[in-house]
Amino acid sequence: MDLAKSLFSSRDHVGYVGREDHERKISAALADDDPEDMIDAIRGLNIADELLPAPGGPFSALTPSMVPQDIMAKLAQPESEGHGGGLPDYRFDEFGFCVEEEDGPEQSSNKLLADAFVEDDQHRLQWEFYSKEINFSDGEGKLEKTDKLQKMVKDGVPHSLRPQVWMHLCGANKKRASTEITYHEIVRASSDDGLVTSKQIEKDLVQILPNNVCFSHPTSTGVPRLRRILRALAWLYPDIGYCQGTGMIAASLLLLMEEEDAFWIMCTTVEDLLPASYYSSTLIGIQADQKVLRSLISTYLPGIDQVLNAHDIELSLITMHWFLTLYANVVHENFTKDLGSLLLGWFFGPIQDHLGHVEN
Amino acid sequence: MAKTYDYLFKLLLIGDSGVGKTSILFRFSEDAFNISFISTIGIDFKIRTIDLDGKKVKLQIWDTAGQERFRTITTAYYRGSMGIMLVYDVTNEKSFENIKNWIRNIEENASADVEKMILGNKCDLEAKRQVSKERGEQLAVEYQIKFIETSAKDSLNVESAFYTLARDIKAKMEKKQEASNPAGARSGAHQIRANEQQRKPTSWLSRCSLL
Repeated sequence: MDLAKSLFSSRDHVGYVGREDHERKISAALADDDPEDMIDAIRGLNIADELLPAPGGPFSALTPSMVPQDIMAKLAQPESEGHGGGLPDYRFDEFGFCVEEEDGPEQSSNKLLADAFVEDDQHRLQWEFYSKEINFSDGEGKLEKTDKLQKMVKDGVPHSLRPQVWMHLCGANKKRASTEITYHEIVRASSDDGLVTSKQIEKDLVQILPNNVCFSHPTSTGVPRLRRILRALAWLYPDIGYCQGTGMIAASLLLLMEEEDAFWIMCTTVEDLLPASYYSSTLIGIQADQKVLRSLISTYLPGIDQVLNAHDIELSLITMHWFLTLYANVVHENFTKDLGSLLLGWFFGPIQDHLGHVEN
Repeated sequence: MAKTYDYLFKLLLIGDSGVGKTSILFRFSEDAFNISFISTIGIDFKIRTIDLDGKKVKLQIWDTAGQERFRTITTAYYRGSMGIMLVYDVTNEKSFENIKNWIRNIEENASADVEKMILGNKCDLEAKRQVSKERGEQLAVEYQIKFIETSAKDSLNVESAFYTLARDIKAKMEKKQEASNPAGARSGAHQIRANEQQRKPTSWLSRCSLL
């Protein structure tokens, strides 16, 4: 058990407070485990230290610190010890989602989608040049909405630059620079296990992206990060506490960026980008948006309106979670990322600008 | 638009978070079970058409989130539902005690004649059981609601639970139609009078009479 503890905690904790507490939780989680699983995991971890995913292969689109080293190790030697290496019947995609082998059509569509991660050098250079030009890393930098930027966002952001570009476009860099309290301090303040919200969060952690290897198990790489972010948000916004949709957004962000960046994007989303009271206890903002969407459909999409009426379907049954998760659980991961650029960088940009003017 | 069904029934699944509402629905609609489900966010629904005494009955089943936060949203759906499944987990005492609260919730928000049924789920987990079958039955007698223990995992009684609820709705509806339309009149106005408690009576009753 000690061995397992040291192996797991050395990787999935990046120096934030509450470490002992966290280790206690991990050992508790491990105690419930099938011993065979655990032995597999330990064996996996012993084999190699830092394995890098093959370009375009499983886990290749993940932010490097999220790559599940134990599974990488197993993938690296499938023939180990004569019983199939303990590999499951499914494979993993670029983001670590399980893909069942029998899903024929899914595979072929995946091949098409995989192009999204083959980066064009020219494209990347263009963005790198641009990011220097407008000084992305400068927290004070004002978001200049130029035609050039608009076109570049529409053409897509190179996958590897998404974290930086999103951080800048949505205003998270600015928020981090202008906030007095640091993420580290917020994490420390919110690490109380006893809170009702902490218990709710704990219950949900492995039910947010159960089909992703980074979030499927209490010891998965993403789980402690997600726990810290959700607790931090609940602490920072006591009126909101923990609302289930936010977990899905945070987990999706964590797949491609580091914890602190994901946290600041979440703050910007909740505070600045979304209308007020979207996640508050009454969820009044979400409910209002359902009504607005319904009336827009009646006006502009008569075909859909007719079908909804003919089958007596209440639209919010279908659309409520689109709004709650900002599409994170609706469309394919790869599309979400592009949608993310648009949502974070463009559609909300003008609103944010507008609000900025009001404040000044 | 040609209809492929004779009746459309809207059902609602409610109960504490983690009792297995989504699993029950997944078992009924896909005949499958998955140990790790994504928490239901807000509300979701599935559709299955069943054959009931020679009639095609389309079931539109609404699955609600257990999280307290979504209570205001989910109660908005009570009014439009014709049948409600109250689900508890036989390995979780608290979820059983809360059934009373859920019933109160129904009384406050649903139409008075909504059909109800109590399901004690996870009955395959005999070793972890905290609520005996007798206590479930007793509660059901107390409220005069039908009761059955289910296991979404082992596919036990899920099918029959939905069929029972659907059959009860159908019987009640046909009885009501007979009472309000002895001459088989097709006018929607008569039905509205007979069902004032239903907020949108024309939406489903008129459809039924057209068939």
